Amino acid sequence: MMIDFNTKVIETSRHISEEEILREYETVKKAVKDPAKFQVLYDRYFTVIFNFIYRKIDDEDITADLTSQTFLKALGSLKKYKYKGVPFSAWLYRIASNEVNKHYRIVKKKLVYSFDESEFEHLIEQNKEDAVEIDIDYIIRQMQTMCETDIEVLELRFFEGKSFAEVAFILDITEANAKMRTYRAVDKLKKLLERRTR
Amino acid sequence: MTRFDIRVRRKQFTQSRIERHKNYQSLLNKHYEQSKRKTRGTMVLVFVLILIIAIVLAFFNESQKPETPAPDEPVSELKIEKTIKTSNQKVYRL
Repeated sequence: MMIDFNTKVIETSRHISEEEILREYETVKKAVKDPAKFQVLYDRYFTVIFNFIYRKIDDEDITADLTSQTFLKALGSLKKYKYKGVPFSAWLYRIASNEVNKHYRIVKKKLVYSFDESEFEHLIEQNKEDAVEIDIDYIIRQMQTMCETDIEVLELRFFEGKSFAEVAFILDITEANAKMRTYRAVDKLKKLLERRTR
Repeated sequence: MTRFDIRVRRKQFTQSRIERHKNYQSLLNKHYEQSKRKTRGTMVLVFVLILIIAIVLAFFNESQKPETPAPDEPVSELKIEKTIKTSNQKVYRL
């Protein structure tokens, strides 16, 4: 069985150019002096951050609250933002991730990862030739056996389409560490799914 | 038991549905309110700090002052009177 994770990354990839990153940084600097200028970044990233939070919350109203909280936190601490060569969205993802964790600490519930049916279907699609069919429930059951850090990198890399640099920035680890974690997680998932085909 | 649940998301959000939750003006107002509260909080904190420093300094100054000698025992009027009386008394020697 072959799982082509790279195809998925290319498909969902929303990488932006170095110039665009620098332009974003200029907007951030302007927004520090005039918060109204932040609207450009708010409009650009509201949907992606909303979807990212919804993936982990699975409740529309709470997601809306946490998204608003994420942007409020970002706006309040714009002065602390430092240019690190990654898009501004990576910083928003990091804040959003912290907000989600804070929410779960308060409600004391299990963390949720809700993936689109299409994302699972993509995995199944790639294994059409195999004699044994892999259904969504099977993938979910296998992913459930993985550790949270593996799911986290898989989510960012393959479902959110983030670069290794961005994954590293969001998780506050080095790029080499992000690569290593991702490859390990992919390897684990491959092995888990291969069991079914044997 | 895992600490997380993996679910299939069947509900797809349309862009317009997400847009419903978008309100930059409200976010901006919240931000201004928050920064005002922050400024007020900082001012109160600075005031309290200055007050504490002033109290500590006053206390320190007080404890640093040289000890003044204890005043002589006050001589009561009664005693003075007694002394005068005594001096006026004749001394009889046996």
